[in-house]
Amino acid sequence: MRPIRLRDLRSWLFLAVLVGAASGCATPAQVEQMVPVDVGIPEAPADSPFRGSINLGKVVGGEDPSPDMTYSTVGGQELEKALRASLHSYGYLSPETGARFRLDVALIELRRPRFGFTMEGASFMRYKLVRVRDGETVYDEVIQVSATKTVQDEPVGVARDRMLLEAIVRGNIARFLRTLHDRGADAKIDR
Amino acid sequence: MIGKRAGAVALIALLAGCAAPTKLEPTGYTQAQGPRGAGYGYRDMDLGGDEFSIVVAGNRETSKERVADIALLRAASIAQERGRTHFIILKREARAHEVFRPQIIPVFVGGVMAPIPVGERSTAEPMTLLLIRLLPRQQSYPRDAIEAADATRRLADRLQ
Repeated sequence: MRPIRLRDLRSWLFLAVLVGAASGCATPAQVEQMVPVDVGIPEAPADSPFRGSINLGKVVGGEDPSPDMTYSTVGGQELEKALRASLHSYGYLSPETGARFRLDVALIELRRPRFGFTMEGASFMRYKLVRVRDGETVYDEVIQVSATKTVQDEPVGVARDRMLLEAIVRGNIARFLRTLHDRGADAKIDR
Repeated sequence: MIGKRAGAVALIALLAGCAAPTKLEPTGYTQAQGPRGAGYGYRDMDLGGDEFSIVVAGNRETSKERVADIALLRAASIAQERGRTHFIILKREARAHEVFRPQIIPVFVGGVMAPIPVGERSTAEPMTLLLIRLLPRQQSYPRDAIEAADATRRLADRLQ
């Protein structure tokens, strides 16, 4: 058997470090990166029926972490925290339980590639807003949002994957906040 | 020298992420495998209150009509698995998802194959999303209710 040379060892070590960097550093989507900030959405207007009037109800569809850490995920707890923080930031979250409205959210699908230099992803989230008093659903829609991330955005594949996930969830929440703002002015919604 | 070549290969993998095989047959009535959002086939989720979401993603060889059929067949199957005969569709969304695939050519340098990316090609892959609600067994059903057994009969043959 040929003895292992120091030069070979260096080559393999270099390869192992690079492969490790490529496959071993996938991390879950971060809460703060899924909260829309500075996206041009106004806070809840003072006369909006939703202002300070929403409790976050059931949030389903979060993912378990990738078992081999080769791709990023959106965890259930992280998604719930991001939704709560978003509702709070824009003035919709009720400071107490027993609010007028309950919001149930389902992360139905996160479409994204497993690899590629340019990655396009899409999120599909269902938002169901129920008036607690009589159980009437005042809003029930699936919002879909797409985003694309390229090597210019982030050169490392797994980090680009995480950035894409955060962008499509953040964009989805932002779209819902915009809807809440617009629907707040809808006279048909019983205050 | 070998270290540099190996490093180049690893660097390309690092930049591109992982590689995966390409499927060329139209997507069949099958559960999507692997992490959510990356496989082909159907995937469903119990949303509570007898409501379910069904997402079907097809590969580029699959028509949008076929993914819609797969979603409806899966909806009928969910109803029957739970002892229900009818369901209604609450939401239906269809879209084409753009997927970028690296175009790679193998280059042999000193007997070592190195995959060299020369560009990307985008293809559109169809997907459908259904939200359904299972109806309790009752004497009569609303006009927009779908009979699970009938849907299964119609679609199972078409998807063979």
